[in-house]
Amino acid sequence: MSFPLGEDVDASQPVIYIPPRDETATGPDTGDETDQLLAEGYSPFDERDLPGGYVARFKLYRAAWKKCLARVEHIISSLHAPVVDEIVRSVHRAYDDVLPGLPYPELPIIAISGSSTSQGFIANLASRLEASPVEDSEDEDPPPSSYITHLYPSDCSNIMSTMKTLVSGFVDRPPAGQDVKRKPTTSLSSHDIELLKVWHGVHRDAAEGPEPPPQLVVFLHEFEQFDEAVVQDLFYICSSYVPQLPLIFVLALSSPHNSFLNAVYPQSVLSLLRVDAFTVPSGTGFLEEVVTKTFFDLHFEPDIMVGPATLDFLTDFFCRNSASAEGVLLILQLAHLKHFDEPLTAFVRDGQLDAPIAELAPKKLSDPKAAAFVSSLFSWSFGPQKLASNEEGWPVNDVAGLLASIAEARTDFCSHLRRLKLAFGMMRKVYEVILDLGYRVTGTEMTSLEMMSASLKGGLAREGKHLGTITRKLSGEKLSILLGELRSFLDELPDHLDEVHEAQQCVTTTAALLEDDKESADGAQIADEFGDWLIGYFQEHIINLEDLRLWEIWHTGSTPFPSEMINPASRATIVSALLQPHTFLSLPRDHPMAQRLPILKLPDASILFRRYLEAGRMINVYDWYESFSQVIESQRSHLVPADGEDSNGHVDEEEDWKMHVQARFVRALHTLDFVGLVKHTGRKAEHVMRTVYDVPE
Amino acid sequence: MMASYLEQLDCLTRDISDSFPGNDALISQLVTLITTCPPTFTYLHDPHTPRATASLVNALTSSLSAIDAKSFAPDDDAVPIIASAQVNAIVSFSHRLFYDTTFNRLAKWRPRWEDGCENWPGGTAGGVRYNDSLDGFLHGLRALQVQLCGAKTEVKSPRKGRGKTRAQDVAKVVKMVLVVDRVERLKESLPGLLVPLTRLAELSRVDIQTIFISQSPWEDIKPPLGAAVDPFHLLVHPPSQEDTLRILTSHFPTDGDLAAAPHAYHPALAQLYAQYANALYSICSPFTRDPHELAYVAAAQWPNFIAPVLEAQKGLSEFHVISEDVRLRLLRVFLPSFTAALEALVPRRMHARAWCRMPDLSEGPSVDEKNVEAVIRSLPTLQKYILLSAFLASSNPPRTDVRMFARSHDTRSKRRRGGGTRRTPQRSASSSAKVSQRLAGPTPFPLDRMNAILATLLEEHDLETRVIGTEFTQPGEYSEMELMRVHTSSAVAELAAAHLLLRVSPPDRLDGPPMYKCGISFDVALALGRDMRVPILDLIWETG
Repeated sequence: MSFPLGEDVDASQPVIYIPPRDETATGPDTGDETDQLLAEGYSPFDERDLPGGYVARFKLYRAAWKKCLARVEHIISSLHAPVVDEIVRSVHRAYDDVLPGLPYPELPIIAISGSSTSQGFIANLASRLEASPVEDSEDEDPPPSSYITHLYPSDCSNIMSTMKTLVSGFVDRPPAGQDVKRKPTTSLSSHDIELLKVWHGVHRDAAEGPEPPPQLVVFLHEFEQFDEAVVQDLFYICSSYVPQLPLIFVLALSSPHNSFLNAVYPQSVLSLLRVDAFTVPSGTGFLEEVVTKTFFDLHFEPDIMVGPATLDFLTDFFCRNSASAEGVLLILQLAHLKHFDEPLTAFVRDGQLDAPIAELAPKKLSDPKAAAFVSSLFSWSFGPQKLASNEEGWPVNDVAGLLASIAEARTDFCSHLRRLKLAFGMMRKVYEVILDLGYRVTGTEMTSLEMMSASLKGGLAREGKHLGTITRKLSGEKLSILLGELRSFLDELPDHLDEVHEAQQCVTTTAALLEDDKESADGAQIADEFGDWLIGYFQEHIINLEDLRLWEIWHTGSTPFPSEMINPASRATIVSALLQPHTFLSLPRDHPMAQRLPILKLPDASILFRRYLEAGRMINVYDWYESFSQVIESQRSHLVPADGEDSNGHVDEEEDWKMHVQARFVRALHTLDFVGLVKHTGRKAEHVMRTVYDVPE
Repeated sequence: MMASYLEQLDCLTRDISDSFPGNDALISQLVTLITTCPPTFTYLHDPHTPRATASLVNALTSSLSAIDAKSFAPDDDAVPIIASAQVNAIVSFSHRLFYDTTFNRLAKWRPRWEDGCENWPGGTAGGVRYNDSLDGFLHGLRALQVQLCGAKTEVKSPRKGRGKTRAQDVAKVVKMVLVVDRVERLKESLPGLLVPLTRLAELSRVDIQTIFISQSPWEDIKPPLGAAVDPFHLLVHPPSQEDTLRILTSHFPTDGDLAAAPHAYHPALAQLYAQYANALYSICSPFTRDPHELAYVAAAQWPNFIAPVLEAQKGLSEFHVISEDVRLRLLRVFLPSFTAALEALVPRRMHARAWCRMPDLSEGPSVDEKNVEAVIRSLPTLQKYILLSAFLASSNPPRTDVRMFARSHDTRSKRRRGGGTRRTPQRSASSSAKVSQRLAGPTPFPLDRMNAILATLLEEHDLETRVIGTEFTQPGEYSEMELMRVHTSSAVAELAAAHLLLRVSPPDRLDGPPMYKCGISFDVALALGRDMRVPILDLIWETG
């Protein structure tokens, strides 16, 4: 099954999981369904989809994800920027900044922990180093240019291939205009570091005046996976050529473990090195920043808003399984993909429905094939109560009216979402200021990520009330601090939004009142009023987005996140596939909903597995075969109703049949063996061991 | 004329002795060996400072080969042309590299990029390959000797009126020296080369002397069955205190400009540096006597040590002499920080540059154990549970698992405290020889066992925090499912890569579950347990 992934899908993603299709969702004719899937792609809500809706939504998905991805990547790179700057600086100064009086020159090493999981970081760093050095106004000396070579563990199984990759990584880029052919036998061999020295000599001679000779930067990716003995030799060889060869090693360590080198390498190797350690920013602070700036920032409006379920999963996965930037991106992307399963999401951006011009959209909806789509759209837009209570007939009378009402719902949703973001931002600000002022805010043990998720459910009423109550008790002086902070917070927001103006106005008025009242020193009443306003404001604006009309189009809501795709349990899936193959295989149409089939109708591997489960710790293979052949026998009698048997060739036929059963048995056995359910032990002849016990059926 | 050559040798010996203090005997021995009639195979065993010795030999042989034999009288046949090459067995890890490096260095050939980085082309016009086999190598040596002699006769030819015989006399005394450093590695990387190198002169029939330098004694390297000739042994003694101090002071990087404004490496400070080195030696020598390590610590400490002096002389154009009183006070204040520096710098928890930038020296860097703890605390939750269960699996004997972890309704109340019933009599019987598990170190365990313990921990301590789907109906089903998830396995692999779990079984063994050992210490595990609210002490079989 090919799944049309766009070019914005990262090709380095190791696994793309394609879930078992839901039987209820398959198209009308299952006969040539593979062809159909190839033609139309995966479409779970086919019965109420728009004709061509899949393609339209896929385009929208691509646009929406691209927008979100660009934003998240921008945030991540700005979070990484300070560390990248520091590393670049220390690479440039690696050979200038040497302590005098050392007994021998050391090999500069830059160890970046936590960076293997964040390929973007290393790529960013490499491109920064490779770019022609920018003239810095502070430094008189221009930083040296750098040549970069990348080493991966797979290239470095022994010292010969390691040196070959290292040397040829540099030497394959010959000095300008001096590409000379080397003889394979009588020239320096390609794994000889002397070759690199000669090559660098040409560069050094070419460098004029104050320009320092180029530096040689070697990236070792996934450093933990390298063979220790090879790396020891590599460092030894390279360290005997510094500083004539300005080599700098950059190690990408996956663990957040600065002392990996100290734990693994002996002192004799470490003493050759000068290790500078850096850490890629990570942790919950990182996630918080990414989520806040993507989904709770008024400067950026993503096409779809992730719901609390996705946010909760994201937080949980990040804290529990793997704290990597790539993981965050993957989860967000999957949330986007899943969201666009819903046919209604064709309206995410506008009502144009992938038509070339807006006027054609009503025509698309008027198509009789789109009737199911329109009716579902209608029932989603106007809930049953609304239709029932409406005495003036249909709320809209034609397709154009429907489209207009969707546009209205969109404006409404966006406006509410903006207010929610604003109110949430203000709440966080008030919370921070109040903490700074030395108040203890009780009852909110939520982390900010939990608060974000709660705010989307409209579940921060208690916290809002609490903060308002504290605000009411603030003295005039403290209130003016709070107002000042809030004003500067609001001033930073985009000023063309009405939602912001509203809040700004109230804060400004209160501040002015407070200013006027300074002499009378009666801030209490103002604080009282402002506190009440805050409570009201929070209550009014932090609402559950799922109460809005047609929220499903722009919000993933509390639909559960498909966590099985990120973190599947492979063995459990195999076992359940063997137990209930019909949920994974397509069945003939006459058994659409069969839950548990009789053993006759199962595939061979499943029959064998059923018998496997009934056996003891060890299985006698012959008994297993016997029981299997019984099932096959009954299958045969079931399928071919016994009519007049002719004795001619009966024996031959029986022989053939036995061979047939044996072949099927061996094949099924190999299947089970292949997925790791059978363990061969030499202890008992003709027996194999089970590897799975206690399977809940 | 003869005298002049010897004088030059004396002068050379003196120079080298100055730059490598404490090796006078060795140097004069080597000079004699190389310039006169040497044994063809010498073994230089230096168990203490092999790096320094290697650079000494390198300096010596290269300056000997730099002596221009032409400047002496042509009839003086005691003046040899010395061609030397020093090859490091680690750097030259293949036959090809070994041969290429040897020839290029013996012939003083510099490959040039424009010529396609060609190696020493050999005596005859190209086309002959000397780097493909040992046989080629031997032929190459002969060709090299011919070339070295030939060059000699060519130079002589304008003045040659006195006949050919003399030229041949000169040709006789081309001496080649091949020094192989880190020979112990030759045994692993190029074992076939070891024996031929020991009898190189015999095999190649040229005047070549082989010198092996190694940290290991010859007995450990010697090929079996007496295939190699016995070497002429030279043993380097560890440097005495006096020598070490001389080495340390020789590393003081001063430019000798007395008129310069005060700076940390002003020549006037050399005397103070000597005193400083003396103090450093007296404190650090019980821990390490390696001159390089001591010099490293000295270099790292010096900028901070001298800072108060420089501060006092700030803005002065010339250096003022420091009084004895100030020196003693300075040293006394600094004494405690030497040990801290030693502890941080010798295992390279920090490099010298970072050390001398540290504001407060007396404390030293944060203790390593604490560091590891902080790192482990920043791990994802699941990895913390894996570490805890690995620790438990490594500390408890497998037979106690059922008692420690079995969770059924009837055993629950019994087991809670102290981990079941202990059979004390049985333990006391073997107690005399029994070593506490904590001292014996972690024991290996199969991954399956750790997974089982992990499931128990997750079920008991983590389940409350999870939102469990309705499809999980049986007790323990959820945790079991967690175990089988992809990210649990990848977390184990990640921890193994970070050496927090140590894989004991070879990675290519497919049969049976992989074996691991726990990589965290008792204290770290306790702290982690406190963090995760897992009562580790209750779950360990042997708390003593």
